Amino acid sequence: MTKLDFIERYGQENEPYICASCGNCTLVCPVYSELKWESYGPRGKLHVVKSIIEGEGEFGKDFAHKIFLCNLCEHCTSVCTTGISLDRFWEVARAEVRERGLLPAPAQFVLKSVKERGDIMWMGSADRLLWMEGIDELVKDRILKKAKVAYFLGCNVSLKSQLHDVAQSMVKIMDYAGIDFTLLGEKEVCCGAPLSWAGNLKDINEMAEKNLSLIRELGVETVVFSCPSCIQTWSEYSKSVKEDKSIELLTASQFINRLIREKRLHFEEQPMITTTFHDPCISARVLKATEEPREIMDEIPGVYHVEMNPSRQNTRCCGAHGLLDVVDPVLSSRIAERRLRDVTVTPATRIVTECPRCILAFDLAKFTTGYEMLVQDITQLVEGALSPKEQGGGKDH
Amino acid sequence: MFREVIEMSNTDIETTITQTPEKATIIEMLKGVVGEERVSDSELERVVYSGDPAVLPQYHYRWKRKYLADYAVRVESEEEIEGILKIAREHNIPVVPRGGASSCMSSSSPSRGGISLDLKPMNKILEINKKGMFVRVEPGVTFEGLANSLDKENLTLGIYPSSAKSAVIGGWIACGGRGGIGTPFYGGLKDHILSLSVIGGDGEVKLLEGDDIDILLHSYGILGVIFEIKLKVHENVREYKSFSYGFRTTDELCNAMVEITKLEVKPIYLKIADDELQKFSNPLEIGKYVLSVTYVDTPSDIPLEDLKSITGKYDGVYISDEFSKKEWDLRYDAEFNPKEHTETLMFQEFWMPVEKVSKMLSKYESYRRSHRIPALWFGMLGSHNEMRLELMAMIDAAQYLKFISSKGILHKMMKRAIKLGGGPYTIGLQNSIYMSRAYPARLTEMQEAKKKWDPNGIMNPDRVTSCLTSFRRIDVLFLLATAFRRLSKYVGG
Ligand SMILES: Cc1cc2nc3c(=O)[nH]c(=O)nc-3n(C[C@H](O)[C@H](O)[C@H](O)COP(=O)(O)OP(=O)(O)OC[C@H]3O[C@@H](n4cnc5c(N)ncnc54)[C@H](O)[C@@H]3O)c2cc1C
Ligand code: SF4
Ligand code: SF4
Repeated sequence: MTKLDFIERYGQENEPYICASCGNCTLVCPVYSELKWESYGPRGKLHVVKSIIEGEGEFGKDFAHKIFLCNLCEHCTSVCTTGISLDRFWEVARAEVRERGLLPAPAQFVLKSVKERGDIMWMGSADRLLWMEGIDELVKDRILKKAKVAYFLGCNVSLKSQLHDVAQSMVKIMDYAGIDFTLLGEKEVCCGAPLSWAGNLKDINEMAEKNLSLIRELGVETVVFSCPSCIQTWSEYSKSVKEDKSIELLTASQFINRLIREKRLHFEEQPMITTTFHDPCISARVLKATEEPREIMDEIPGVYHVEMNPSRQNTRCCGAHGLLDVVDPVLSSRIAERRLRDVTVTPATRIVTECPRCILAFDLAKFTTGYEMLVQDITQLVEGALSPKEQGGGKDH
Repeated sequence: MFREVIEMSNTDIETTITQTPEKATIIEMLKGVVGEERVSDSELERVVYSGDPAVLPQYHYRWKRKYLADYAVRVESEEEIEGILKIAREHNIPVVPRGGASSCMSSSSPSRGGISLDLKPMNKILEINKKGMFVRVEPGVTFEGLANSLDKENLTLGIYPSSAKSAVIGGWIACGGRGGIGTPFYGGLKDHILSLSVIGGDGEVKLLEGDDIDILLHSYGILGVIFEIKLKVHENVREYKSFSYGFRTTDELCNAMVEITKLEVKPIYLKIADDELQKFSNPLEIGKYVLSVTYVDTPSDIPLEDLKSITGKYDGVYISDEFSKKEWDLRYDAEFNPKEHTETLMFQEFWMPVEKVSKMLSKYESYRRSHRIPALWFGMLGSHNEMRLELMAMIDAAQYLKFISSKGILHKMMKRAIKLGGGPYTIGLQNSIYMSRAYPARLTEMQEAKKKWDPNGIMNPDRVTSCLTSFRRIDVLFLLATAFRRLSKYVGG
């Protein structure tokens, strides 16, 4: 019997034995679908862990690398016959990989960057203000202001210029709706999610708390996110969020949908836009927030929404989650391309989603496949469709 | 002791497989057929390509001489299968066809090493012919893939195993495809296959039609590899309506079930289970046993009045619309849900005439009491008058005696099933010992076919026509084990 310390410490050592080996998880796994060897699929990996526990296999570099060839997309969890929280198991297995000093180099980089710079890209706090360029008027009095609503951008949206428009759109929507909101500005740090993806489970709470203590000081009751993984991480790993339920964590579309129901947003007719919504894995399978984006699109005149197959809880991963985009960019890109193929069999010309990683992955895959379609965050679609201020809302044309 | 008793007893043609040539040359040859990318002899892949859901602790695996494949090979075409089989014949290497590996009796796990032949990559839908109402597919097509493609044409295959999320069509055919969702209404796979293209172990390519198809059903990969299938399809049906009733006794439950199966309108799905199994999926609030039945949702397809009068006659109580709908929604997973709560969910599957199910259940219930085993059970109507009955026990394999004695009880139940005119449902590796008693005519037929189709004995050895141990040995072993267990009750074991 081989001791797998972390797996035992986190109470996961029984999971390989609970697995009934039914194989439900194999066919839905995006990594298996691309690489086609069963050892890359969830059932296969559990078999291997079992054989390691039985002393018949080795937790070597090869297997450690395989543990990281995974999107942490939760698709396996959602179909598991025996109800195993496989996502939790994969995270703990990553912790085991780290414990054994077998972390892939990109994961080591992420851990170092989050620890030393507070973000995933080795940038720094000052860079968290760059996205505000051009909308200074809208944001200048918002940073660290006391307010009931906070907008938490997350590393990707704050720091990647390609995504700055997502943040700007959200700020414009809040302003249009007359929301009194606050931003953490350069005090915002990584939510902690990448730590769990890179096998450091113990420091996530501290990372989350750096943001949450500020948020609490500002008297915030609702935090709106551009990235569903931030919500998942705080919900699962922040002690204070688990204990104190007074702070509400909302996806962009949950918040926007509420604004629409409160009649704070008004739209003008769009010139026949056919959209399809890509459900980000975490929004759909963890947060179960599948209906709000669809309801929003139904409200915008001239937007025709068609469904992709698969969608909602059965959505396919974009390939970029769980650090796969840095550990194996080629594989990650192939998974994104497969998802874009799902769009090409619909009449949609625009793929709308609500996760920064999905947007980045699809933008890249569009380039590699040559597919012509616009990739947008739901906030960008909504902001672009707001009617001018004088016609009932607050949009400044 | 256990291992001594079940030592090898095989005398069949498969024993001709004795030596394997240099591994290095074999792997190069395999790569020559499918390319470097699709052959592996890595430890990881060999482990992964050697298992299925068979609930076997590790010591049980040692039954099989070499329980790890030597190579895993992913094939994508008929030519590649032919090439691999040729190498296997020339070098006496066993070949184990593998689909979704969801068959529960070690059907696609090796017993003598060899090549695990992964057919999942052969997943193309070759033709959908709406006019002729048929579809041509490769064997690795998934039920979901097939349903999605047919749905666009408003067609359906209509039938699928409850393992549809993991199984593939070739695997279901090789397992017989008798009982699944939709089979009581549309008929089993046998009624749907129009032709099968197969490469025999001897390398000959055959196109089977009509009655000739029969030999490949339940063949478990021991004759050859199915590489193309033509199947009948139906107009799509989208709406279903389910009804669930709680019963107090197994007799009342079974009487109601038998009468319902005799009605002219046949259900899409009919399931029975005890409250122990329900606990893990859809807990029962009324009664101790449940019967759930689902029909196509058109007035002419739902015998509502008959259902009311039959269930009423046997004191069955309608549970609720919500419960009934949930039963249908859970059709894929219900039987495996208890596994979440136990390391070993031991089970045996039986194919029983519906009239005899009651006798099986009353016996199993009496074992539950006398031997205090954590028993649970589940049944799914397969044809108009036969049921796939699954008797289970939640046993921790570490409790050796309890484990073996529970297996012993399932063995006794199998003997009883055979006496009652039933037999094992899946054969695979584990149930081959019952072939001579449950299906003697079929055994002879398969033995003859084996000699003809696979004279070198390379195809999936040690199952169906021969086995690694004998019925008698197993019988003695389990007799001893159950006696020990009974004894241990009195001495506090
Ligand atoms: C949760 C669960 C529910 C189930 N429900 C049902 C059910 O409702 N009805 C039912 O009948 N079964 C059921 N089963 C058993 C099993 O899933 C089915 O029999 C299934 O069809 C097997 O298909 P597979 O692709 O997984 O085949 P595998 O397990 O891979 O293979 C099964 C056998 O077929 C052989 N084989 C595979 N492909 C080929 C081929 N192309 N040519 C020749 N031989 C081949 C293999 O060597 C093996 O002997 C269930 C299993 C599970 C785990
Ligand atoms: S989380 Fe997603 S990528 Fe990872 S094993 Fe599960 S299905 Fe595969
Ligand atoms: S779905 Fe769950 S039980 Fe089935 S093989 Fe995967 S992990 Fe195991």
